Amino acid sequence: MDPFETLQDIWKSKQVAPQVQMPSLGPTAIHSRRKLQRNLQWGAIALLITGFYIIIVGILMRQEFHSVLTWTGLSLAVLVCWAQSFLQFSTLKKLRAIDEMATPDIHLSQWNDYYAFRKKQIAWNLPLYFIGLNLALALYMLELFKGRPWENIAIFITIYTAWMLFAYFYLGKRSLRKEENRLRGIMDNLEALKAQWAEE
Amino acid sequence: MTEAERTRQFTQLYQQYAPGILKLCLGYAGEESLAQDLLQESFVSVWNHLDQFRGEAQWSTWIYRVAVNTCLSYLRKKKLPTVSAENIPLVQLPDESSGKEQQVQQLYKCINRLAEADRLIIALVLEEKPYVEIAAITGLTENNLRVKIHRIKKQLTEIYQQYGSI
Repeated sequence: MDPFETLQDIWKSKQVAPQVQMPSLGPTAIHSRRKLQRNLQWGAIALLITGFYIIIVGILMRQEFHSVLTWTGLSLAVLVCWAQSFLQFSTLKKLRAIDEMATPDIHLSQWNDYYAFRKKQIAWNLPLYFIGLNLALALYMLELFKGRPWENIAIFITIYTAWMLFAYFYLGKRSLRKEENRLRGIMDNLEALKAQWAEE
Repeated sequence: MTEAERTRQFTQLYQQYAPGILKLCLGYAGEESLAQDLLQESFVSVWNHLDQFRGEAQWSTWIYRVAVNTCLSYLRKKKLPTVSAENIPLVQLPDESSGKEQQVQQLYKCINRLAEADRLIIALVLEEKPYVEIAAITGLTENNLRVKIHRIKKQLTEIYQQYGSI
């Protein structure tokens, strides 16, 4: 008997039964596209709501805010949140465009393109988001400082600036590097998988 | 297609193809719980894209292709191991008296030593899918597929023989 036929007999001897009669449409333990989509979708919605929340806070506290800079800060915060939300929705659209009915090599290429896009995107988006939000917060703070002792202001600004510099140059860069490495790893895997479908 | 027709169609497809897809996922993943998750993910995709089926291919080809893509995209986050038959660790060898289930598990382990694409192709071969359908599922030309299948069969048999079972 051909050795492969023996393997085929072993394979056929396995009786399988799906755990459920019908699959649930809920999440599974595996890291699927649906999970990525959910994360992006809820992130985008949360940012959209945050923008509205800042507007409501501005309207409710309009008697307290007299400086143009405060309003500029609030407007910038709303703009940054909504721009980020728009970006996440665009990324979601790109993710949804990956064709699950395409042939495996095309499907893998689409995933690779998606991750290449994400890699480029995080390189400029994360620093811009960080700077935009901090600028907005700084403008908002200026009016709050009015009439306070200069020592307190100096201490606050020193601590805040030090923290921001640490967050940007150490934590931010480290997290960016980690994310880039993660995406690079995924893309390398996809390339390796794609190569397996090549002509022999 | 009305919602009731859609549900009826889906139920029918699930009942017909879920066992075969589960075996494909088992061959690919090598473990039951992950295979069940991959099966579920595959059929969620089938449900989501049911309206996009245009009848250009058979249902079977379409569903198996969705499952193959689901399996492949699951692995994109995991580090791919270097595959070599020589690297197989020595384990307890199943003998003649071994149960069928143990032999099946051994076979899954051997399949797991293959490259990811090869696992999927050989699982389809073991399922006795016609070559023309495997070519349609994988998007490979029939000639390329034949070359690949010949190599994978040889590789799998060698790996299994190293366990002393054939």
